[in-house]
Parts: sequence; structure tokens; C-alpha cells
Amino acid sequence: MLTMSKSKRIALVGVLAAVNIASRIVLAPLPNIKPVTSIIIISVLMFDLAFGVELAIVTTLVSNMYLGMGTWTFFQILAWVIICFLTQILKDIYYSRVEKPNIIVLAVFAFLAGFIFGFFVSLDHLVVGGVVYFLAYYLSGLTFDLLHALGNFVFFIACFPMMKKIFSQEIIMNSV
Amino acid sequence: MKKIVKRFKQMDNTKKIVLSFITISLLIIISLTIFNQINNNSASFKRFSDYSIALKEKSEDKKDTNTINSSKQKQENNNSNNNPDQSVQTDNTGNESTFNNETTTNKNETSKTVSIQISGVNKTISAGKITINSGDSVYDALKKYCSNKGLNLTTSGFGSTIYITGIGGLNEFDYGNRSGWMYMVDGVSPNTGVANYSLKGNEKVVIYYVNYE
Repeated sequence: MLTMSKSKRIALVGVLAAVNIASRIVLAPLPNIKPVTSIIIISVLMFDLAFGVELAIVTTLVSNMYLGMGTWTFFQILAWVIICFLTQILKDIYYSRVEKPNIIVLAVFAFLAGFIFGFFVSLDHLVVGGVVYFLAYYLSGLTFDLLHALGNFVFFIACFPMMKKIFSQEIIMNSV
Repeated sequence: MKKIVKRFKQMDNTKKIVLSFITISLLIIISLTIFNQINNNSASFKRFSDYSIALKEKSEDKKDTNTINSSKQKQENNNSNNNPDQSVQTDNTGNESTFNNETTTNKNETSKTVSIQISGVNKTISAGKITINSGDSVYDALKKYCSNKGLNLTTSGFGSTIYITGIGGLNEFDYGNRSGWMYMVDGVSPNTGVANYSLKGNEKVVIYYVNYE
């Protein structure tokens, strides 16, 4: 396992966060179709868990300065951290088996991550209005979660080979 | 349990921190939910105009019992008033029928009219009828009505995103962070903005002030 120098790491977080923030602001008219989740998953796969968490926190805090701060900021961070953790578990499974993950399997994982994200972001309505209110809110948001999931699938397949090529010198764990 | 603890100790540091962050925040969410449920703070649906409707219906019932033989039509309206359901929508239709019987005489003459009721805090600010052109939105009708009655209407936004901020000096946020104006057509709250809903005529539009706190 190689380690990155600290300054390089900060610069990389900044660059990827900038891509995420710009995509969130530019693609704001499209409902939930954004490459943020895919890029976070890819960064956890390429670098490590802490990198993905840092990226998620910076992305959420800075992009919500433009798009609107609120209680959902915390829940977005929580949802992305959970996705990072699940990705790490998936990565560990592949690492212990000493095999390289198939891109389609990872893309399907990214697809499911859209629904996981939708569920955890809806949790703030559980706090406000109880179980019934939460269920109504979550079920009416399922179409948007589906759009998010489909966007993740497409962006993952598009971004993964690209980012692998760009960051080939910086990849920490050689599992991908 | 011991196995889980052992596994947790074997993890590297970042995983420990992330996992504890997730569990702690989920625990906080669950405990806050339970706390809110016990204290019954959850999105309690309070409408000022509900009280006024209830009061009005009571007085209306008394009047009707005094003058039972006044007219058949009034009794019909009374029947619909005698079932004040708990739910908001039926309450509202019941209330509308009370001002409807003032205007039923005009109903057959012109088809392109809508009745508008503006209910504020504990009282109805204004109620009446307005003639509209075909395809007019609720906002157009309300604008016309307010200029006819001399009510001050303030809005924000433009086009189909227009939003009513205040009518007749009663503005949003006057009674807290979650108070403002909402509207209802034939007892149903539409899913679109006030300038996006086009009227066909003969509808009952209710614009009411809410406070969700």
C-alpha cells in the first residue's frame, strides 16, 4: 500500500470536490441526475475511506452554500458517509478474495446507492413528523430516487475508466 | 456480542470513526423521533379558520332550529351542515355551502363565475363571487376580486411561479415561521401553484391562512 503526501491529498480532495460542486450547480435543473454519488464511490474505491468521507463533507457543505443550507445538509452528509462505508465493505470483500471487481457489479452497486441515499435523506422527515409522515414522503420521492439511481449507473460507467486513467499514479490500494 | 466487539477492535482507525459516527447519528435520529412522538410535536395541523368555521356552524344551527319552517332550501343546506366531520376538507365544504345559499340565485344565469372566500385568522376576511374569463387561473380571479373589494394583494415571483405573500395586510410569517396563505378549489388542495391552476367556472375557491406551528 502506498501513501500520498498530505498536500497532494488535500489538492485531490479539492479538485474532486470542485468537480462535484460544479456538477451539482450546473445540473441543478435536472432532478437528481448528478455524478456526485458515482464520484464519491469511485474515490473510495481508488483511494481510501477517509478520502471519500472528506470529499462528501466538503462537497455537501460548499455546494449547499449555493443551493441552500438546512437540516438536510446533515442528512446528505450522513447518507454519503453511509454509502462510503458500504463501498469500503464491498472493497474489503473483493480485497480478501484477491480479485478485481467487475465494472457492471460496481455500477449496479452505484444504482442501489441512489435508493440508499434517498432513504437516508428522507429520514429528516421521520424526526419532524413521525413514521406515517416519513412513509408518505419517502414513497412520493421514489421516482426521484429512481432517476438518481439511473443517473448513477450511467455516470459510473462513464466516469470509472476515465478517473482510473487520470489518477493512475495516485491510486493507493491496487484493488481496482 | 463479544465477536462484534472483537471485530470492531480489529478495524483500522478511520473505519472505527466512520462506523461510530453513523451509529451515533442514527441513535440520535431514533431518539429524537421517539421524543417528538411522545411530546406530540409532530407537524400538528392547526388552522385558525377551523375555529371560525366551528363557531359559525354552531350559531348557524341555532338560527335554523329557531326558524325551522323558513324554507326548504335552507333545510337542505342545513342537512349538509349538520355533519361537521373532523377532517379539514369536509369542514370546509360545509362552510362553503353556507355562503353558497346567498348566491345560488345567480348561479344559473352566468356559468363563468367562481365564488371566492378569503379566511384569515379567526374570521372570514371576505367572501363573494367574481366573473372570470375562460382559462383564467386562480391567481387571476383572486387579483380581480381583490381589486374589486379594495383588498391589498402582495405577491412574490412571476409567471407561473407566483406566490401570495399577503392579503389585506395579513402576511406570511406573521404568526411564526410556518404560517402563510394556502388555497383550495372545491374542497381539494391542488398540487400546483396558484397561477398554474385554471378555472372552468362554478368552482368554490377558498384562500385560507395556515399556521403549522
